[in-house]
Amino acid sequence: MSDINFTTRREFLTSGLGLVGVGATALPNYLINSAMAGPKAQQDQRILVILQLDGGNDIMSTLVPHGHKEYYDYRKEATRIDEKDVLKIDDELGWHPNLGGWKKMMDEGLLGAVHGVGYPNPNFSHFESTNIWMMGERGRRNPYGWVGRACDAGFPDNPDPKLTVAVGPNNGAALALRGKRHGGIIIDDPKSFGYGGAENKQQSDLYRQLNKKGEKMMGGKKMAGGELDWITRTAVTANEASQEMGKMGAAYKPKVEYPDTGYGRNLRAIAGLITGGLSTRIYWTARSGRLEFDTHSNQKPKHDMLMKELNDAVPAFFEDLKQQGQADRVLMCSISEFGRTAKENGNRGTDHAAASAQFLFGPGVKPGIHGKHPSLKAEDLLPTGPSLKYDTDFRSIYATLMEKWMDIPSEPVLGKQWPLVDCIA
Amino acid sequence: MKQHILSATFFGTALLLPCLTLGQTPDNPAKLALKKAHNELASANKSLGEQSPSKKEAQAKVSLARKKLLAETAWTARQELDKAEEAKKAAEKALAATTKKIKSTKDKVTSATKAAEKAAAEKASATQALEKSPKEQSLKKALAEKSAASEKSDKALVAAIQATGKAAAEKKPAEKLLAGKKAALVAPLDAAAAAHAEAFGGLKPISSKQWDYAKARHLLFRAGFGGNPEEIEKLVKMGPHKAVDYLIEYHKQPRASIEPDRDIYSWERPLAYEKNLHKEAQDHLTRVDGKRNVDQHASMVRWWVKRLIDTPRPAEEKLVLFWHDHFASSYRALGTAYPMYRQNQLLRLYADNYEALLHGIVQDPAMIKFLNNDDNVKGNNNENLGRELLELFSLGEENSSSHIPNGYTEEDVRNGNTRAMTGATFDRDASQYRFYHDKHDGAPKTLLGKKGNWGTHEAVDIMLEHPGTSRYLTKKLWQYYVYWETDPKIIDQMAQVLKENGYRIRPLLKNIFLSEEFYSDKAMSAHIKSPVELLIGTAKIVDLPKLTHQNIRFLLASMGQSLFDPPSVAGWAEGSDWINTTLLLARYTATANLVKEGKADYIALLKAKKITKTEDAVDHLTKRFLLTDLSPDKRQQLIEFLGPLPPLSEWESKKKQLNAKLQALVVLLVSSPEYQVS
Repeated sequence: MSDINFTTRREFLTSGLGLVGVGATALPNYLINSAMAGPKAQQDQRILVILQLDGGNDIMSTLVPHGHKEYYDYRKEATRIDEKDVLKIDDELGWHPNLGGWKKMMDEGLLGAVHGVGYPNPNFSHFESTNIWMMGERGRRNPYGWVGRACDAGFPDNPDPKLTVAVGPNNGAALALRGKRHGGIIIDDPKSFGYGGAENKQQSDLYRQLNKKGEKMMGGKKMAGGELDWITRTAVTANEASQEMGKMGAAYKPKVEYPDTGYGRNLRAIAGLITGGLSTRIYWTARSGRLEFDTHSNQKPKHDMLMKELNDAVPAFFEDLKQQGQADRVLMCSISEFGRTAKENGNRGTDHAAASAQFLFGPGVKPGIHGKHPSLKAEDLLPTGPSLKYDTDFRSIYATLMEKWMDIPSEPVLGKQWPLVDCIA
Repeated sequence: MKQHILSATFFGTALLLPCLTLGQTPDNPAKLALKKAHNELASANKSLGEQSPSKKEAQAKVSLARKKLLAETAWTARQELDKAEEAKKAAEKALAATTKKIKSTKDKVTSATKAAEKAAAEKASATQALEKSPKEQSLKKALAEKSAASEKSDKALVAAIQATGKAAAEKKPAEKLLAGKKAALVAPLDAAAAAHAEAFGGLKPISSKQWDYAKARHLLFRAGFGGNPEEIEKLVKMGPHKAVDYLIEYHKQPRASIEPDRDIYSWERPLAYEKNLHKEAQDHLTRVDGKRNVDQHASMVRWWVKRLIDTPRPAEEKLVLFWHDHFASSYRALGTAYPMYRQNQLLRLYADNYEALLHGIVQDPAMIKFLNNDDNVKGNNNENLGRELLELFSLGEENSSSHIPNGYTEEDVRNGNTRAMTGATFDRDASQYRFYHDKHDGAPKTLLGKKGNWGTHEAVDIMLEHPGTSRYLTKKLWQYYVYWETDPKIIDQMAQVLKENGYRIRPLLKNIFLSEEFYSDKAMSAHIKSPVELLIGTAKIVDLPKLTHQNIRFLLASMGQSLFDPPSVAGWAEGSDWINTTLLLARYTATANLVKEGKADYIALLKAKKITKTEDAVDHLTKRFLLTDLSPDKRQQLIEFLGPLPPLSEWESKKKQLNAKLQALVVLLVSSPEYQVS
């Protein structure tokens, strides 16, 4: 549940969401409309895609530590991947057998992983930990997410609300994308994004008129806008963006066949928008927003399927982008709110734990394994869980993406200068 | 706290004066208790003022005396209210007696008239008879008798007519008396509500004078799912206290007798041999089971939607929806939808009793399955239920040790509570709770600082005792019913009301719905409707005869609120999370579809209101659908869109076009930012 405290949420409602920051609430509609048209994307503008694995991915079943003897002690049976099935990277680590496509991407220099990612005093609630990842900080001191703040800092003079777009389910994306000036657009599918109530031009024109800013009146007296102003601004953004994105979605012809899965459909749609030249700089997507990586019991069949879906979707996305001549400007990074326990539980599954690894894809990455692999020795584990200990703070990855890929200063966004990770070429 | 005491004293004394003057009998026990409480407070205050050696003790005495005083004040006000009610009843009785008397005198006039006419006729015929035979003595005598009789009945008639006049004259004063008693009732009603709120430490209520259409509409949309202007007018007439009682004391209304359109508990047991079948046969059976599950779910959603629209107890369903979000589980994870149906019944049965619900949910098959507690056995723990009980169902994550000093810890989650929940499982076939002692971890465990051999229900009791639980629940209820940005002071105050009432929800809601805060500018039209509120509200604002509950199911899903299928155990992300670019357009489109499918008769509606002019039609429909007024320019655009209405005589012949145009206008009204809030 979104839970922003009193003063800050008020601030969000009155000044938040997209272009309104430009001329505050007094911005006339024609200006909003012209701002909406936005600058056309330039071919060399870099794009970041965030891929959410919500629920807490079991990293030991993704990047299998087959060279560590402890792995075989911790994963006795139900969640163990036999050494012979592991797609080995080196003597220490290897891919889940369903991740052949990922292995190939790494071999081709298109995939890097950062191991041992987490944060101090881990919170083991999905919702709180997701919040921490979305905000890039604890304690909910401000109402804006890290992507929104990055846009505010990186594009201070660009009022385009399409700078950030989330495609698919929104488990936390709305929070991450919220900025003081940039609110983000959240859509299910570009083709079906739009108002379907009007039956003729007269009705559709009046619909547009009624969805522009008017005064909030009650009993003949003017009232503070609050929620109503914010909804109105969302409507203006949605109506304008839906036309442009709908056309791109309908016109898109991918060069490869995408799997018909949540990840497949969403990444196909994002490829269409990138190729169509939408002015978006940061995309966000997830599978279905149902904490599907939360595998407390009978983990293996579920997790195997998820690995297969990721393996089918991600390489297809980059192959398509490559053939469309777009791949060089796109970098994708995974996030997941926490890892899972080193040892399997008694229910053929694993529970919430601390550190995990995250993945980066695209021609811009430095391939290979980065960060420090957490020690699996019993005495080195965090007793709660037990968990792998983190070494790289997730904000170091955020900072690296901002500075090395997006050319956005990270310190004003993240409050301090986090050490960068050498994972981008 | 200090401020609260000060305001309480001020308020208490202000309120006492009229009550004391009202009570006439010197030995009225309530008055005596009140006087005693007053004296106790004065002496307690004095002992504090005199720098008593034990200041803490003196303060405790003051606090106790104050509580007593508040309680006695509330009791006295209630006595006054009862008296006023009795006086009103007596006046009603007197009026009824007068009315009866008038009727009986009128009846007497009728019968006296008949008697007089009869006597006159007899006199006439006696006169005739005597004229024929003037000498006949007996006829002479008869005439004399008849004349006397006629004269007597004439007199009786006059008397009866006079009695009628007299009785009729009595009616006016009786009516006046009743009106007076009714008016006199408002003051004690207001006073009783204020005193009651004060005694419980609740919020200050509004007075009956402040009650109007906008407030009644606000109440109907927040406590229930809204309604049409006629229903709102009914609440306006009731006054705030009766209106709140009418909605919140829902158990006094008839029960909705609406059943699902198919038998939900009807699946066939998997036969023993089936698990040895070849793969294709098994795949087929899996598909059949999956389809049955989806069909069951569809049937349940249709059932609940019908119930949400048609129940005579909307506030009950509104609470059930709250609990469905609070104790979120989904049919999807269960393999059968039946346990979700059972869970929904549990939530309705104890909608007013959180304590019963929290105890009930740990033995609810749907929740046990949804959070894998069937896997949580001694030695092999599954923390899912143990965690969410603390994190989402009772204290809330905001009361974990990372936020407050005495909050719950990871150790409480993984060890204490999870182990307390071991052995609580269910029988798949019957979907019934089972507890297996040999699978329960009976060894000592620590939960929220308390050590013992806690089992499932002891653990629940420990959670109920923690002060975080009432605060967290109150905050969620406040956000659901009033506004999102809570004031910690109000939440603490109301959490106390909740706890004082043994976690009963209705007393808390009654205090909220009468409070000034509930009707403040901060609350009015500041609530973003959930998809359920949006669609059910639409169906209640205007009669939609062609509506199908099946379609509502799909529309709800398109806006992100599929019933019996919340996205995760945290329920739906509410408040501003109901709106983003894609969801807003989905809401507009879904509501427009509902209106188009429902095909209301807008002509009949305008005729009933005697509306013939375009401006009036636009204003009426706006008032019917929106709480806030439209800005003048938006209103003007709608007037131009509708165009001049034809003369009334042509309405029947142009019914189809006219209804289509009015419906198009309504589609626009519901596809607006203004319609998203209540």
